[in-house]
Amino acid sequence: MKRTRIFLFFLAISTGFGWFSLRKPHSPTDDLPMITVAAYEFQKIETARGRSVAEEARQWPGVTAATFNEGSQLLGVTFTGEISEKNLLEKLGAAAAAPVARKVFTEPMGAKCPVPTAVFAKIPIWLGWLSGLFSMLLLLTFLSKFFRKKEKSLADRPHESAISNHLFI
Amino acid sequence: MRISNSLRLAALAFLMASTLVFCDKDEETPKTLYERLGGISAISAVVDQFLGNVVADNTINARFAATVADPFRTQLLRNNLIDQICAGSGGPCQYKGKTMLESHKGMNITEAEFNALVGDLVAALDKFAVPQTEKDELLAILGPMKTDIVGQ
Repeated sequence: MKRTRIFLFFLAISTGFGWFSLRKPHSPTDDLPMITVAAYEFQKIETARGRSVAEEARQWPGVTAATFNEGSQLLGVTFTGEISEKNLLEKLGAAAAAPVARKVFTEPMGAKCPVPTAVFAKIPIWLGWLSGLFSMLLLLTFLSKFFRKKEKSLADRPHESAISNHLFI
Repeated sequence: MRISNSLRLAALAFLMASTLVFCDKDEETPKTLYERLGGISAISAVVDQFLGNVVADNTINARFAATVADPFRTQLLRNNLIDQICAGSGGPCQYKGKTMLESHKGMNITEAEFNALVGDLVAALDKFAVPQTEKDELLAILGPMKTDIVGQ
């Protein structure tokens, strides 16, 4: 019984250390809002107009960057969830006075992993949480056994129990 | 006699204190590139502008098709770029992404594509009027990565 308790204690400590080392250090980038990056093409737009649309777009809430490329005639925009893409498209169309659409890039050919990247990236986080939960459970088991034993020993010695009750009251 | 001793002690203490003050001034550390660039908010603004430049650049935007299509990958790329610049310039970040060699293996990136990317970064730095010294220092940090990116 004593051996089990010691084993549980050390297992809890080592799992706790494992969880701590699996945790990624907090980075200032963790607090940055999610962004969307997109390129927009206008049906017909002059370079000067494109530039002024980019400058205007940069002032809209939620737009973190906007640039007009003279060569490709594309408008590159990065924006947060503060502005929806539908709203952005409407605003861009109005600013440019021309129909605008999101440019869809053709992905390079080749084998594609069926599992989304988000799942892969979340695996260490899930492992970290599982490990933390496991170590907490082990510690609770260890502590409950420890207290149960203490209660039992107090019950065996009623005069000590009475004193402790008196002290706590 | 006792007074003169106290005075001597006070003078000595004053001398030591003033020496410490001067030492402190002498050891004032110069600002890191991270601080001179304007911290995380400035770096994040430059990186967003850089990504905007990249997607509008027909020389390289097709390379980012999968990243642009997946919001999670976009976020990962952006945060990795910020972390890389932040850590490289002496900021409080840690780059958690793959090495440049690992992440560009099999992509067969050409010198022209690499130069286009650098051009987009320089344009982003220029947009925010980053001084030449800071620009050069930053490019000197990122420049050595070229061998791990081109032709892999």
